[in-house]
Amino acid sequence: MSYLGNSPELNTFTVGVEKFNGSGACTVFTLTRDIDDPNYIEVVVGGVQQTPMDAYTVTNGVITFTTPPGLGTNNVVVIYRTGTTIAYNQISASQILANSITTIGLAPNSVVNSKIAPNAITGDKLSDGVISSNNVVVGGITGNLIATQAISANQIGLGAITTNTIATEAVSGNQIGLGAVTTNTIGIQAVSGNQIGLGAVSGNNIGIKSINASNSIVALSITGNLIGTGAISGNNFAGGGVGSDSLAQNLTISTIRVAETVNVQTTPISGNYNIHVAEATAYYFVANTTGPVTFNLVGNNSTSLNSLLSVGQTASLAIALKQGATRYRANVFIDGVNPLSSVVWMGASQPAQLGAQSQSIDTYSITVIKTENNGYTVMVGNTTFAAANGQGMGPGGAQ
Amino acid sequence: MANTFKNNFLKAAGTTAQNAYAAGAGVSATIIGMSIANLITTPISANVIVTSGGVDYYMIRNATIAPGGALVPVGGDQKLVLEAGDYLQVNTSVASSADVITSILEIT
Repeated sequence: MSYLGNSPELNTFTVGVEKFNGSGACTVFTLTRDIDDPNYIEVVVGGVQQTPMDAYTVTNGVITFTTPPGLGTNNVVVIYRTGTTIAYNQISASQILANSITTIGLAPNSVVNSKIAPNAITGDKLSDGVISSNNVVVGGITGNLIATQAISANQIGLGAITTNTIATEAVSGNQIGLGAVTTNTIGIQAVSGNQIGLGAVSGNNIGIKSINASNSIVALSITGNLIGTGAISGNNFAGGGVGSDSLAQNLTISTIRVAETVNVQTTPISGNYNIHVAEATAYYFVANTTGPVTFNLVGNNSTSLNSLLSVGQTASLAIALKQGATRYRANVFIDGVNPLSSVVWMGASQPAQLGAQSQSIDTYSITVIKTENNGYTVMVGNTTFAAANGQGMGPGGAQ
Repeated sequence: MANTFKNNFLKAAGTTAQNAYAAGAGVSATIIGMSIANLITTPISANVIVTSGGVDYYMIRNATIAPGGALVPVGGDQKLVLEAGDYLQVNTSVASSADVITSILEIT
C-alpha cells in the first residue's frame, strides 16, 4: 500500500547515551525513553557489550539484566539506536521529554484561546507569579469563575480593591469574616444609614467611642424604641450634652422613681452659708448647728442665682438642718442680698431661736420665683422634727 | 466475456460507510486502484471494508491520513478481486472529509 502527499508519521532520531551506576545486585534500570525492544539500544557493562535478549530485556523503558551489573560508577552505558515515530498531529506525552518545552519554545501567540479546552488548565498547572496583572483582561474574571474560598486574604494586595470594583450587593453579611473589618477599613461616611439592614447592628457591635462626631447621628435617626433598657446611663451625657432646647416646653415626663442626690454636709455650720442651686437643690446638715444661719442662694461659686434663673422660672430647695440643745433660727438671702419684703414664711412666722430644747431636725422648703431681674418672690416653709416615744437623736439623725 | 474499465467516484465521504464499488449480479471485478484523499485541514482516519457473503472484512482500519495526504489502499502491486454480490465500503472519522476514487476492471 502506498501513500501520497503529507506523511501521517514523522520519524526523528536524537542521539542519546545514558549511564547508570552498577551495584552488583540491582538488575533493573529505568531509561528516560519509552523503549520496548532490546534491539533498539546498545548496552555496555564494564566495557563489555551485552547481547540483546540474552543479557537484558526492555519493556516500557525499563531495562532488566539477567545478571546484575557489577559495582561501579557509570559502568552501565545505554546507547539509543532507534528513532521516534510521531504520528501527524498526535504527539503523546511520552514523546515530550521533561522540560523539553520551555517558554522560548512556544512562539508568541502560538497558543490561542480555542486551543485550550474548558477546564484544561487546573490550578496546579500555574506556577506562582505566572499570571501577572496585565494578563487578566478587563472583565476576564467574572464571579462564577472564582471558586468558594479560592481567594484568601493574603492574595489581595494592598489597595487592590477599590470601591468601584465591588458591585452593588456583591458582598453580603455572611461573606465578611469575624474581625475582617477594622475601624480603619471603613472610610469616613462610607456607610450611610440606608446601608445598614434592620437589626444588623446589635449593641456589642458598637465599640467604645465608635460614634464620636456630633454629625454622625442625623435628625430622627434614633427613635425611642431603638434605645434598649439601660442603654443610656448618666455618664453617657457629656457636660452640655443635653442643651436647654433639648426638651420641649410641653414635654410630659412619666416616671416611676426619682432618686435625687442630697448634698450631705458633716461640718457644723453657722452664719452665712452659700447654697449652690446649680449643683444641688437638696441639702442635709447632719452636725448640730452652732449659731444662727443664713442660707445664701447662689448659682455656684462663679454664677449668681440671677444668672441661673430667667424671669418666670423657679427653683425649689429642700434643706434639713440638725439642731442641738439650742435651736438656732435660719434666714434666706439671694446672691448675698437680703430680699427682705420678698420673703414670705409659711404660717407668716419665721422660726425663732429656742434654748434648752431636745435635739431636732428643722426642714426648710424654699421656693424661689424670679419675677424680674434680681427680683424674686421667696416662699419658705419650716417644719421641726424631733424624737418621740423615748427615741433619741444621734449626730447623724434619728436613732 | 467482456472486460470494462470503470472509475467510481465517492464525493465527501464521511462517518457513514458508503459503497465505493459494488459488484453486481454476474459481475466479477478487479479493483486496480483506489485512493482516499483528505479534504480537510486536520488528520482523519479511514476504514476500507470489503463485504462478502454478508460479512465485513477490513482491508485497512483506522489508517491516518494527514491534511494534504491521500491513502492508496489499492494500486501498484496491490489488487483486489470482488465477486458478484461483493462490495467495497469506505468511511472516515470526520463527516464530509474525504474523496474516494476507485478504478475497476469489470468482467461480465
